[in-house]
Amino acid sequence: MLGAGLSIVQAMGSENDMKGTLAVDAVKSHAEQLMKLPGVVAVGVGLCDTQPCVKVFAAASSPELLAQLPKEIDGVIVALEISGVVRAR
Amino acid sequence: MKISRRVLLSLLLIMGTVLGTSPVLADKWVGSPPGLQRAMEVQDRNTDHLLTVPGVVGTAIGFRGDGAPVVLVLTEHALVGGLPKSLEGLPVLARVSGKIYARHHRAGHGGGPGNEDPTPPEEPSNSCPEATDPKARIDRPVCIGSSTGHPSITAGTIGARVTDGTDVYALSNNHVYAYENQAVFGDNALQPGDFDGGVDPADVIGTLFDFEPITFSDTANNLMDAAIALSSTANLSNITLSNGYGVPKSTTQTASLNLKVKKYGRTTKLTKGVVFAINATVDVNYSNGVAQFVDQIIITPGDFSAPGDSGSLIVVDGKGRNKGDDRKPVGLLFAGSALMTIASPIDVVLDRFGVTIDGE
Repeated sequence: MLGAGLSIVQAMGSENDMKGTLAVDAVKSHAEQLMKLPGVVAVGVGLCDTQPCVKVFAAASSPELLAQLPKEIDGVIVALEISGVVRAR
Repeated sequence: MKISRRVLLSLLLIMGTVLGTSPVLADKWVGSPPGLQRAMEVQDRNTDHLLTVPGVVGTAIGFRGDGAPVVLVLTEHALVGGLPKSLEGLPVLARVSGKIYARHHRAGHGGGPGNEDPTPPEEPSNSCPEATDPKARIDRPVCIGSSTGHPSITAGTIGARVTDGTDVYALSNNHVYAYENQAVFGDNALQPGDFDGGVDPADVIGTLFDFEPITFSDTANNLMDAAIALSSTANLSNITLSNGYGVPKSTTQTASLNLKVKKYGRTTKLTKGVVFAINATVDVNYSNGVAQFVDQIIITPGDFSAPGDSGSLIVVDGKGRNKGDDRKPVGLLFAGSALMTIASPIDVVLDRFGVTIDGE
């Protein structure tokens, strides 16, 4: 989805593009494993403050999830978002 | 699969055009359908006679679930009598199609003696500048962003008018037009959807032409929830209702983080949001079960969409120095939770069907 020359972050510079690529790679290689964590409904590339990071979306928080969720993957920050269950609309 | 379906559809379109009908297609082509040639010959020999029966508006070839061809007799209403049960050994099925609307003929398209239209249809007046309720039945050509659906579902949204350069189609979701894989090609698309009082076939705006099947598994790699219904410029406009954003651009834009976006949908009408995550893997709950999608777009805030907005086109909300990007299509909305909305990247959807947004 991200071709050469396309910034993944709107109106941000090349340093973030590099971090963005790292975050995309981290999601690609670890999404399957992260999706198996209890309550996780989605995994994607998002922003933590202004830096690209791995966003993990869970229907609800739980001690089991917090215990198993990595703090970072391949040097990229992992952040938890509570999203609720995703349904077709 | 897509190519063979297209070839066959073209063939049936020619037949249908000659006979003044829209074709009704069956699901699941595997190679060339057996018996098609003979069915066409039987149809050819009997159509003139069938068209003399009051209430019959056309004929077409269809296929039963076991793949056997049948002659479909298209009728204006359900009470048409006097039809044979079979013709030359082929089963005959009556199918209520309602009145058939003329498709927009173009030079060099179709051909055949029956395809010459001596009086080109007038461009219908467009009611969208006045319409403000996307759940209502809207005068044709209907605005995008309004309620729609397969007769068996509740209601979703017409995302956009798309075109392959010859015909125009209503773009929405598989779960809106193809009933989560359970529909048959040629099934009707209504405006408004059944939940909003849409009646089949009185409120037909098109027929299911193609859809990307959804694999229901939490390890699947679905790329989109998308379907298109064959329509016409007489039935389908390319502008939102008057309280929407207008006509989408034809040039698309790839989603990027923090990109400001907007959409117009059946339930929450015009809303604005921001791209919160990209390249997302998401488990989506359907009535058929859970389906995992990959490479999706996540948009916030939570009130960006609600049930019934499925199928909405998400476009750039461009202002200031980004004004030139305003209304560029980004994604096709299909799911969400209390706090976020999920969309498929629009380029992947358009490429799948070989179409572009029929916009500005």
